[in-house]
Amino acid sequence: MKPAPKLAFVLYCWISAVAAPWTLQIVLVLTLFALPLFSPMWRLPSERAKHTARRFLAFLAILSIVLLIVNGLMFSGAGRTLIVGGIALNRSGVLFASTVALRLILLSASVLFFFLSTPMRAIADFIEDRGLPSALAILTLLSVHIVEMLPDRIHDILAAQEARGAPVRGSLLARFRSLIAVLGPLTVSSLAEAIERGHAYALRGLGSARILPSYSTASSASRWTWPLLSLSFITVAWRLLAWIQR
Amino acid sequence: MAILGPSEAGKTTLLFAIAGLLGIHGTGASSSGSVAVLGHAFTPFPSHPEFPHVSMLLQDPAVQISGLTDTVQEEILLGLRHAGVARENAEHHLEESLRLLGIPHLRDRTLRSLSGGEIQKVALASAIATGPSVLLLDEPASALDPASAIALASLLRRLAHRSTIMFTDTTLDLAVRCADTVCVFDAGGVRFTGSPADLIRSGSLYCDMLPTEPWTTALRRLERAPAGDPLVRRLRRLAGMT
Amino acid sequence: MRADTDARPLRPVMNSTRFHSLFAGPVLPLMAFGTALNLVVGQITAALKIPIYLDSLGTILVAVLAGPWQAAISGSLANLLAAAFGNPAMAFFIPVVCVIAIWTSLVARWGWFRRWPLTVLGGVLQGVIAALISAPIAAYVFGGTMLAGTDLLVILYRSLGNDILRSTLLQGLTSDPVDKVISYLLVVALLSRLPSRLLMRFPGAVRIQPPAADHVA
Repeated sequence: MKPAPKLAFVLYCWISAVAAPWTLQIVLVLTLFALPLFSPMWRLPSERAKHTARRFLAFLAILSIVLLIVNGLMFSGAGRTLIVGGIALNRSGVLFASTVALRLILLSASVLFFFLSTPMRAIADFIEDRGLPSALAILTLLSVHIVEMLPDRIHDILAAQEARGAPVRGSLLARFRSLIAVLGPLTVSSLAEAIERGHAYALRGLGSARILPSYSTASSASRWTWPLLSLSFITVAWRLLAWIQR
Repeated sequence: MAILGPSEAGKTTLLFAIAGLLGIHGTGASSSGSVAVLGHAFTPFPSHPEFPHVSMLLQDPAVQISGLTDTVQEEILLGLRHAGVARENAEHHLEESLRLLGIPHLRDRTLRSLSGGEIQKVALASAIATGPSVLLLDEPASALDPASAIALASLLRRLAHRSTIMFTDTTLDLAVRCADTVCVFDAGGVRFTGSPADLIRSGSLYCDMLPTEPWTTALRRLERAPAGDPLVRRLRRLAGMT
Repeated sequence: MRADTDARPLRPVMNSTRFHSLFAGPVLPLMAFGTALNLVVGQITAALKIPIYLDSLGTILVAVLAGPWQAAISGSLANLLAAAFGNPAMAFFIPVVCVIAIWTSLVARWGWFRRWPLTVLGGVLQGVIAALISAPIAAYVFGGTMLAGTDLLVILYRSLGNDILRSTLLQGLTSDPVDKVISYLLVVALLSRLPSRLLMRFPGAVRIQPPAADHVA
């Protein structure tokens, strides 16, 4: 699975989120939500990915409502008021909040769906295959690995500190001391493991050669990459022109 | 070839220098010197691994599993792909490395379901799949039970037909079973170079320094026994010491 | 037997360009740790019930031990990953991360991390700079809602009659200096606990403490 056309779509969503009119943004949001259902390339591969997506969408919904209420109540300056469920909301505030909410949904849902539907390996391959510095590919892999490993390690160190009678629940100052006591061993052990793993990646030739085409499953979706990139470019150019004319 | 010596003697640093790992990720920043690998002299040390010509098995094989793949097959193909081996040929190398390690049955297993010993074998299979000219192993026997160590020795003897093999160890046991040459390291310097039998014969301090299991102890006793005794002669012949 | 390569020249894993020299020594693993620390330190402070984020702790650590570019790369990656893991707003604050990386490196170069009053001063200034850069982003791109506890401060300032930009700026000026001073002090405390054998492998170690000071954790 090649992530290039998907990345191009994410880029287009991001550019549209700040540069395109709201009607187009709504079309894009609807497309985004339809993609995991209809496009095999965007399908969420696991139950866990689906769960994450559902939770995140619920979170976005709540956030949008909070945005609407906060801006509706607090938008300074004159404006007509809308009465919704007995609450008087400032119309310009509600409009502003809707724009921001739409932008947030577009920005976040595109990235979220991209990462949930693309395996880490495809992303690493992509970084290397573009000839980007191999150090970046190794850095990304190492970071993701440490992120996955740290919560368990933090839990273990905290438990050990607590068993030794460290003030995990004492005063604020005492808890700061525990924080330092946790960070010390965490840094030493994580650095040691990261160095080892870096060696292992280098030994396996990560970044040493371009990946042969015969390994990557060619996808007809690649033909979407350039049109999407061109669309992004046109959107930016159109927006710049409009700004200069004004 | 076996690199023997107590811990902290600099054995791993030597392997890292040969593998081209000293220049990256900062192992042994204080080291100096030069290395010649496959006809290329490096002064100072090579700054990047001579992949795929030099492979190395790290002391903790679990670290070596990339975490990018799900199955044993994909894991071994990963290195082949980075070595630039075409997909059609890769299949052949994959099968051969699995066969050499005696693990064709693990091919479709997920990496998470493997035991510690199996992980070592998979890591070794990935290391040899690219057909390296030099294979380095850092204390491969340290976590093995005696039976697995014997199996490892015969595996290394088989692999020696394909690659130059260097491994480190803190005991003499694996070296006695499969090494042509031993090199004893201590305090950062070479103290002895020769065959395992020579080392035992020399009765040197470094031979006593290395802990041994009964088989090696027996060999050492045999070496020191009076040569006139016919039984000793016969035992020596059986042990391949003549 | 050698695996037959398909007549494709092998690129070296690390060549000696200037870019790659940025990652010499154990700097690359440090950067990876810095990235990860930015992302998970919030879990530690939450477990210890400490009411701050410290989400640039890793960037500051890398900036002190390695340098500005390494910290900027590591911090930017952290923000990109945070965006991927569910907080897309973070990707827009990459400029802030880069400024934190550069400022912290300067502070380290000036030797301010050797004396705690100067460390505190560096942290306060860092907070002010960070607030000045992040306020317009928070206001214009996100309408002052950052999916974080600091949103309450923005709401408070807006209810006092300020517009969005002013409110996000005031919020930044209220919370950022506190967060950065604590981050700076934490980094100093953390570095004094690292074994000097590990510490001395990083180019920036000499800027923090004299080599003799060795407190093994």
